[in-house]
Amino acid sequence: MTHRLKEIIFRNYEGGDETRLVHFLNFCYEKWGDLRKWRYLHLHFPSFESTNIIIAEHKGKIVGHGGMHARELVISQNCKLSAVILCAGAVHPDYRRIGLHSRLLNQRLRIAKSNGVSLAFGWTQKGSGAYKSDTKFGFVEISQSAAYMKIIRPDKIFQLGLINLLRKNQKLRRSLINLGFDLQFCFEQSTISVTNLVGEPQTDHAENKKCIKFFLDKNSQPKIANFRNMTKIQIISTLLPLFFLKRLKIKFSSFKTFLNAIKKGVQLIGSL
Amino acid sequence: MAHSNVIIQNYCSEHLPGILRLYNYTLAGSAHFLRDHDFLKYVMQHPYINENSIFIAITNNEITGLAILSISNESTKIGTIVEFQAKDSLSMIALVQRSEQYCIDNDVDRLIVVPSPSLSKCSFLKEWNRIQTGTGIMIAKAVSFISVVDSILYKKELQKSFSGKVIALHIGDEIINIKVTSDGVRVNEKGLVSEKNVIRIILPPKLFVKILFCKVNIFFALLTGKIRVNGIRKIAPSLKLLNMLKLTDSVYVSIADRI
Repeated sequence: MTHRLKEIIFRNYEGGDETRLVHFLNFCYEKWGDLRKWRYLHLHFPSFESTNIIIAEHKGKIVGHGGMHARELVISQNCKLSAVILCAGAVHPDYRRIGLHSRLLNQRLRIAKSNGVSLAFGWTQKGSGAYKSDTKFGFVEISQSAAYMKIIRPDKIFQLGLINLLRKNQKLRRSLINLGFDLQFCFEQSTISVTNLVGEPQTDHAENKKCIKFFLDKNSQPKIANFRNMTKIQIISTLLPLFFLKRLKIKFSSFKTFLNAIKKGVQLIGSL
Repeated sequence: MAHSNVIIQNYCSEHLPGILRLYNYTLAGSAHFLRDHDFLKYVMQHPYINENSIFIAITNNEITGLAILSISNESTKIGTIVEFQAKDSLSMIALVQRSEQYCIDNDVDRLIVVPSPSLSKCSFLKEWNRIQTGTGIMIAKAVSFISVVDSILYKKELQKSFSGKVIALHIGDEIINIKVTSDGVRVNEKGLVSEKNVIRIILPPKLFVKILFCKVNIFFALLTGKIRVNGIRKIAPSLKLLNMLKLTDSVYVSIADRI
């Protein structure tokens, strides 16, 4: 594999590369964005120079991309440091694990150093391949200001989370299809029916209105809506108090549904 | 809240000088990336931002807050306040409420914000969930050690404490010599110096960055041998110098900075 790295040419951005770069980024990251986004991120940036973008090419094909933005880090009125923010790093999936990411990083840092830059900053997902490579390269995790989120439409977030879960867990999807009754999550704005989500045509239980309804009070809805970003322990520790404090209510359409739920519930938990 | 005299307006170019004054006020005392006229104009050009989604808080004819809201067009509509500054909690609450209303009107599912450093512990944030943004964790590396050392050492303080001394900082393979005389401080990157009164501090590059961002206990690093000094008598001045290298424990980065 290393022989491929020797064949790779590193060069700076040239006018006209944009379309190929956007195509490449969309290939590396699903739905990265369009030309407008790329132009905004790079060409429109106040301190943009063509040397701020490094392109790796193998036999005329773009296999790597890395950008940086020159910024100034202000510590106090008397202390300002010249810095770069590394961004838009991408490596073609077929060219990973050959050190291309590090080479792209090295190229950018070399240019930054020649421009008199003191510090380089970047963002990465902890535990990812890029993170491991960056820490080997001398990068250190530092504290940044906290971000906060407010869920405005808990029903929509919850529904998208469920769709995502069902797409990824086919076993759960099958268990839900064979459940014999519908699960309905009642939010302030709408009711989410699992039968509809699994994409099954109207079944007997939907017609007969066999269902279990989950009612969450208004304040608890945002807590559970973002369940896809929570660990299993976090989900359980959020759900249990809600249930015991009667903020989460469960209603069964009939006693038979209740008995059926107990019977099938074990199977369902198993698939989770 | 009911007694608040904060007025929320949509942005117009006349607000720009006032916004820059607001930044000077709110970001003083915290490490941050420079925000000037050009950078603000750049942020406002974002494809997901329009003039109706930039809000200005005005109290007694003075700009006391700014919120630049972007709304993405993905499967979940995410409202992100990419730049958010407020002088006081009333302006902050008024701006967030206005942004929230704008999000509701535009069918947004969730709203993300990074509050200004002085208001990061504002009580109303208790209702919000602390999250890690999609960009993940922030990492840093020193590109040029000599440039960092030259920029951050407070020369007057050095002259006071280290007059007549030479400090040799061995960071990885690089050696930075700091010569302090009564005339001034000279920082240069040269080879080994063999003067007797030289304070030699040896440390790995990663540890240097950790010291800059207060991620390590210097005294503990000395005790465990991660930092080495030439002689017991030189430990105290070394500790003093290493403490001078501390930049900040946290960098304020808005969503606009996290590209």
